[in-house]
Amino acid sequence: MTLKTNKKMATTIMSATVLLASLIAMPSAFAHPIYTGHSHFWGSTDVCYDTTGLNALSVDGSTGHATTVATEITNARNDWNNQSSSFSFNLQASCSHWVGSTNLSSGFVALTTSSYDNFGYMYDVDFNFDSSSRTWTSGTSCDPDGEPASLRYAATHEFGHWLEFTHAADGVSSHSVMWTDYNCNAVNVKSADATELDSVY
Amino acid sequence: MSTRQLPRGKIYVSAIAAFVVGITALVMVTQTGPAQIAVDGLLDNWGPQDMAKRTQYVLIGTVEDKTVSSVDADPIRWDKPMVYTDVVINVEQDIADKYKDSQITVRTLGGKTDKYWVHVSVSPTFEIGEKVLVFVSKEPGSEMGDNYFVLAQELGKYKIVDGKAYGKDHENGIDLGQFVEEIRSALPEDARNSNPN
Repeated sequence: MTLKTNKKMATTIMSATVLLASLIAMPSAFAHPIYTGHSHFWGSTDVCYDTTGLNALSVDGSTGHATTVATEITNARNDWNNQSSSFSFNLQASCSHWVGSTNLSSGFVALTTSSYDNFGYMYDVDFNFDSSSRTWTSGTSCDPDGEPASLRYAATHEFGHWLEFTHAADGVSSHSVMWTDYNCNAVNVKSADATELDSVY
Repeated sequence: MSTRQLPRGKIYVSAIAAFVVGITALVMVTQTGPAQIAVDGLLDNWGPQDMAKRTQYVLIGTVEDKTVSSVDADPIRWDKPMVYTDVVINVEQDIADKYKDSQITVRTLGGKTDKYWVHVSVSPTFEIGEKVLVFVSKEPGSEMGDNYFVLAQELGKYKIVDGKAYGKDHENGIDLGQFVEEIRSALPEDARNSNPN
């Protein structure tokens, strides 16, 4: 084998190593122009969820409305699924990712927790609606004070967190559903959110 | 040009060994360290007056200390391990005139231990020595357990510098005296009456 052949082989090995390192580092390489904070990603574009404990929420004045809540979760999910990206959320029994309810009294309308590995890939995500003394409502109406709070809006925002979008930067409240606090100008997926989704998945 | 010969087998073995060692090192570097968890959510759109109506205390004081607490793995509160950071504040004043102790420990979400690193984008952050105004409550059945917490997360904490309060609602600062009066006027009637000043 000649020195020329050795060089060729060395170049091939180095190229393969660089390519592999690039693939591993890819999640942190994306830029998010209107979003702030960390950025992590799913390894798949088909993510399942299941529901639990939805009867605990007070909807339109009473508890025991799991079906209504589930419908609003579906509407929120469809808002993301209907964008041009190939990414989709799908209801699936016994899925490890779930939507539920818990007592959130420190100012959260709803809350997402997500686990991710050191490559930046997510592997376990859940969200809870606040089931403390908060009242909720179904449909598309939005009370500016969040009293009652919109199930569909909250679910759409939290599914945005499932995509690991964090909160929209200051000044873009009307252009993103990912505004930090309750904002009736930002209740559904906006063009900037869709563009972001499309750029990642 | 040199035409030195090397055995083809040695070349392949060396290349594969280098590749395996490199990948192993890369995996070890990226997979060591604490498990990472992110917490994000939609916050209530509460301004200072809204928080004044809902809070137990509105405290002005100086941050004395902060420590990362033990991990909370209670599945009733959290489906994943949660790390808290406890912040000790030397209390100078309660605008609601209810809190009587000289110190309070306020629990915030997030922190880092050997095993877990919990990132919370909306959690209030504190620096030791910082003078602050905070809306503080306690709700034992909540996600914060039987601990005081900052109401409305980052919205409920203001940094005080040179007589002005800086927070999410007042990024350019508001005169502290004026701010205190605005908060006091929004307090529930019993709290206002107990502190006419």
